Amino acid sequence: MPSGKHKSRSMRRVFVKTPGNRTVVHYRKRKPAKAKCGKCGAVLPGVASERPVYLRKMSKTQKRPERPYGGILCSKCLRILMKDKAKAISAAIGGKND
Amino acid sequence: MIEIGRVVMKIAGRDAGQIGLIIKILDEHNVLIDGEVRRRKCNINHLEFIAKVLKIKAEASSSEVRAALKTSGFDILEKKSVKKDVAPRPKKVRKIKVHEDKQLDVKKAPEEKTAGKKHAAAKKGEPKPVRKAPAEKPQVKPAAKKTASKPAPK
Repeated sequence: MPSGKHKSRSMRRVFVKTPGNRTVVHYRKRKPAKAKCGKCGAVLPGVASERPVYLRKMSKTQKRPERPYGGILCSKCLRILMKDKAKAISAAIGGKND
Repeated sequence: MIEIGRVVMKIAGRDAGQIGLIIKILDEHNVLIDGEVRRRKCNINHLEFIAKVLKIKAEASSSEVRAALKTSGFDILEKKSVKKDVAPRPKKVRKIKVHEDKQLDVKKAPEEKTAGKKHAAAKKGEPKPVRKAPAEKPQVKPAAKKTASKPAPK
């Protein structure tokens, strides 16, 4: 019978086949949820979702994309933001010319 | 819209949000840009055009492009230099006691030198092991100097 702490669903069950040809259950901790875009809620690609001990071993660039708002906004939302920024600059210049 | 001297902003990639100038048209999809962005080929789909055209010659150098952007009023970040100018570490100078007999101070007046020699002559009666002390000392010096001043103390 599994011990009480292993009955929790926060641990996942992995069935492992041993060299002695028995199938045993191993209890492993779950990974944290994947990061989501701050604006549209889509899953962010290129952002590592690991347990803290593994995250600490990774370098900074391995954990998020090398881009403004990398790890916060998805590429689609970033482009929309940048387009708006460019349009604002154009409008400001247009105002000056007049 | 797509012409040499057109001010653009990159909307994708590492340089997103930075301003550049078109300095050469490569084909129907790509242009060469420079300025605040890195000097490289860029897809037109990754650019957002700004309502300004600056007068610049084709394939201008980076410094010319940056100067043109600055004079026309765009706030451009200076390129961060990667190399740091660090002052060299001060070398530790150890005080080494030189034996009186081995004092080779040229600055001293010759009279003092002869005086020292006389003193040494008077000391010759003493046992010799005192001389070996400075020969052993070079081993105490830091590693860099070890190869230079390693006698054979046997």
